[in-house]
Amino acid sequence: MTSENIIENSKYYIKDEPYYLPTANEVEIFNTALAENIPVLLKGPTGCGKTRFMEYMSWYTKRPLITVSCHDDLTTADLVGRYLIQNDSTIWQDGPLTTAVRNGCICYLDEIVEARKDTTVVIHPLCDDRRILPIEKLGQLLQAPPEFCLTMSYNPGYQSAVKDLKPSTRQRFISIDFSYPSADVEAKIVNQEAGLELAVCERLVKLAGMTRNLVGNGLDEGASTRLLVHAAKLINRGFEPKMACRCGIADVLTDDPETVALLHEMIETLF
Amino acid sequence: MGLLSRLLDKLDASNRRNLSLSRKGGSLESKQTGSSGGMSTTELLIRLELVMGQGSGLPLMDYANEMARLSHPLQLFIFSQAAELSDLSYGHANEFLAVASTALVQMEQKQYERWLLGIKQTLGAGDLAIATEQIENYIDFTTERDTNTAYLNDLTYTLEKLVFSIHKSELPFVEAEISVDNALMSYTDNEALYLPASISHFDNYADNHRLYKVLTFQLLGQIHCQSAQALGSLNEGVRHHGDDYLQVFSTIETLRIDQYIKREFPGLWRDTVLLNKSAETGYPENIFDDADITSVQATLHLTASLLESTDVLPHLIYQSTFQLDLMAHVQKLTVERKAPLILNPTTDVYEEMLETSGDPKTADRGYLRSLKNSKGDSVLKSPPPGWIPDSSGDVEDEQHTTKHHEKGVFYYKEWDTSLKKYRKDWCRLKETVNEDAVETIEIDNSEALRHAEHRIRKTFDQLVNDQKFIRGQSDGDEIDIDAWVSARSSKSKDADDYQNLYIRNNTNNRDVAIMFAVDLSGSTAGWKNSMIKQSTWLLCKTLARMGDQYAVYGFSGSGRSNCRVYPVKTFGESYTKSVKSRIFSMKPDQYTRMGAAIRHLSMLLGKTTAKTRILFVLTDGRPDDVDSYRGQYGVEDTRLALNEAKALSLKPFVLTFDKEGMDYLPYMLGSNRYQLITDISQLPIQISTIYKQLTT
Ligand SMILES: Nc1ncnc2c1ncn2[C@@H]1O[C@H](COP(=O)(O)OP(=O)(O)O)[C@@H](O)[C@H]1O
Ligand SMILES: [Mg+2]
Repeated sequence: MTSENIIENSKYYIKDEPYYLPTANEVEIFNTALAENIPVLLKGPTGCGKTRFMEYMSWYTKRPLITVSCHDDLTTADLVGRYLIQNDSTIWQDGPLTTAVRNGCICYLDEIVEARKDTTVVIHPLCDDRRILPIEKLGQLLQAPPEFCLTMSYNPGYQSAVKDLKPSTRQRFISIDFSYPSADVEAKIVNQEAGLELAVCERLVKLAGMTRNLVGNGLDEGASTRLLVHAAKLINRGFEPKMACRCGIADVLTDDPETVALLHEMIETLF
Repeated sequence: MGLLSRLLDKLDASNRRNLSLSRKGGSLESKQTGSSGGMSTTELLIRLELVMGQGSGLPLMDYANEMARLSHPLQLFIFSQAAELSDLSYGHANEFLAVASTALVQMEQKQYERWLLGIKQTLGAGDLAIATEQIENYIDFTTERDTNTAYLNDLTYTLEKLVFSIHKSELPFVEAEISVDNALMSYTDNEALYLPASISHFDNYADNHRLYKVLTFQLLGQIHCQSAQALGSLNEGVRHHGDDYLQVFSTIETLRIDQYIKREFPGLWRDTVLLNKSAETGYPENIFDDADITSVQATLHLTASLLESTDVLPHLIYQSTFQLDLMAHVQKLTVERKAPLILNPTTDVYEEMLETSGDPKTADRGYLRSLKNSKGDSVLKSPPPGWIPDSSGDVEDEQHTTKHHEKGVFYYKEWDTSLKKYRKDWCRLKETVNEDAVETIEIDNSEALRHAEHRIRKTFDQLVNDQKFIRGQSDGDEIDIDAWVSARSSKSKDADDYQNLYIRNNTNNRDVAIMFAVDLSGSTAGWKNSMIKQSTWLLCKTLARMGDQYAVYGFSGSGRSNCRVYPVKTFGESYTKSVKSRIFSMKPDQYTRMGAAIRHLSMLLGKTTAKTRILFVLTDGRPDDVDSYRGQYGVEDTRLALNEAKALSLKPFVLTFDKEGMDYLPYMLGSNRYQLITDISQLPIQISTIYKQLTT
């Protein structure tokens, strides 16, 4: 059970520096949390750089990164591991969380609120001072090495009030706010990611700002940095900017015809 | 005295008549309201007489009969229009009434609004014969319309939101006054944008529409570029040079704002260029170079230097009309925002405002009003933002100007069955938390209730334990030894036997959200109310154990602009003392405008992420509200609202006290989606049984 569970670390290492432009002091905070063994919570809307930040930090700290995208059927067994049957006998297979603990990785649980409630139970003892992962089925208590770090992300904008984290879970974390970057930083990011000329990127960012002002007023969420990058890539490939914004931003954000029309008007004023 | 008391007397009399009819066994409903939920012929006749005068010899009864087919809002619309027309020309009002009922059902709202606007404009111009033709030829408006003209009404929604997305706070769009020489008027007081009601300057729609956009952004530009700062110099200039000064300033300031638009909204700048081309305006390219446009001072400088050589300046089709009095208002606003009022005793204007009232907000409104009074034909013809007419609900064309961002206030559409159309933003719904502590929590200490609690527990416990483990799954937390053994011993050695060897633990797999919508109309007073409260309380208590998401909201209200929803327990809340207190402070309120309430609560329920989402409506009768939200009209709107809920993949269910409910519930909901409360003491048990059926 031992040797085969040790991951081939190289698989989880990030070798090339990912492009990440810090928007505030998130890098320093994360490093401190790592040093102090405090788990981290990344709060922010989708597509604002959380995943990219984790990749960057993994590269920066030279620790392997294991990412789990949570969904509403994710069970404790999916995280910790389970027995499988193979040729008349059972074998144990580690889940990603166990793998991360065993190997001192950074474990990133993306969109944690999506996971089933009982999964947070195994997270508790990992987050407090004991830093233990109980593996019930093996009768083991796995002690996390100092390199292990747990990070979770969630989007406070989504109205799944009930699925919000319980205070007992929340209060074990340090939180980093990932709201949209400031306009000039965001324009730089888009410029860098898509290689599109800065002036056009600035206009895309402006469009995003306008959509973000409409949140709660026809839109559930404004255009994310990711969408801007998409639109920018389309433009870069020779698509007309208006067309690129429609396909890459407006039509993605909503299906409501009135709001789509409004978004198209916005595009018309800027391009 | 006079009109009003006469009307009241008559209404009284007619009510009495109806009442006596109903005692004789006639159905009250059919006599009191028209078939579409509007006013009865009696009431219509009285109102018609009120508008057209008694003994006029006009066939008012015929009109009333015709109008009885229409919905209440349409009827009101006809009255308000007839009244307006009769101010212009009595004869034309009559001509209008003769065709109105037939005409309106054939037209879209936009079309009839245009039709009437046209008639009024023609009458205003004194062309009586043409107006008659317009009235008679309403059919022209049903088919094709003046396709070249752009109308503010059609564009307000988009433009308002567009401006909001840039300005971050609301700037309502208001119709500008019509100027003497029919020039396009547009101006702003930094709190609203005033634009012409329609634009037909160009002979094609695209340009007229474009002009609206450009005008809008010019006004927005004035706000962002702080044009109003020029006020002092402008006043000076006008005193010395007359209105020409303002003219020149206006052109130059527009050119300055053009630079802003060119920089900030390149797409709109393209529109501006196209407009100038269509209008064949020679654009002075080099008046501003980008460097010196930062302040309105630049404009003032240029104005002074160009005053003598105005022929170099074009007249731009989209330049706005600067209004000195409005700019003064803007300056005061700025003063107010910049300095807290106690620290700023220097400005005398401001002191004046303080005298009217201590509160800066009301002082401000007081100021608006006095401005309105002092100036005969005020530019502030429409009410200041935030102003809500007292007679809300009575006026058909009442505009909710500041509708989008009032806190806790929502607007919902409503289905008008006589028009077969939705009325947009028709109902104004407000969420109000009732924090009154209840004095006594009356809980029957009866055997029956304790029994009920026990039964609910049992039903729910079954629900929870029902499906804890599902055996023979392809994937799961545990190995299903039995399945494995049987697969091993199976003779066939079929690979399929080895597929499903796991057990899934489903404890927390119940993923249910339920919204209890409790009818708090006046008719639930008494035992119904106390039973509803106790049932809700029992359910909440037990539901809390199940881990299902649930919310409880009461609903009632009176009139379309006064729909109310009372949160008792929201989805995010857990069951606490204050929830309990709120349950027991639910009290009978007014009417039942079910559609708006259902739309609102569906919206809230739709935001939860549960797999099974139930909208549970507890009511004691059919939809009913003051402004003729009853009969077919109410049922149809509620039916549509419930259909909309289904479209959001919610499961609606109605539980009713109304024995006659079977007449309309099957139609409203489809089968298996409603139940009658047979024995009130069984209510909690009934609910828990239904709940079980719906969630498993
Ligand atoms: N600060 C940033 N630096 C670099 N790229 C960024 C940044 N923020 C956002 N991005 C871009 O946005 C995209 C989406 O970010 P991602 O990390 O996937 O979002 P999230 O995980 O928050 O949903 C990235 O692929 C990247 O192109
Ligand atoms: Mg991500």
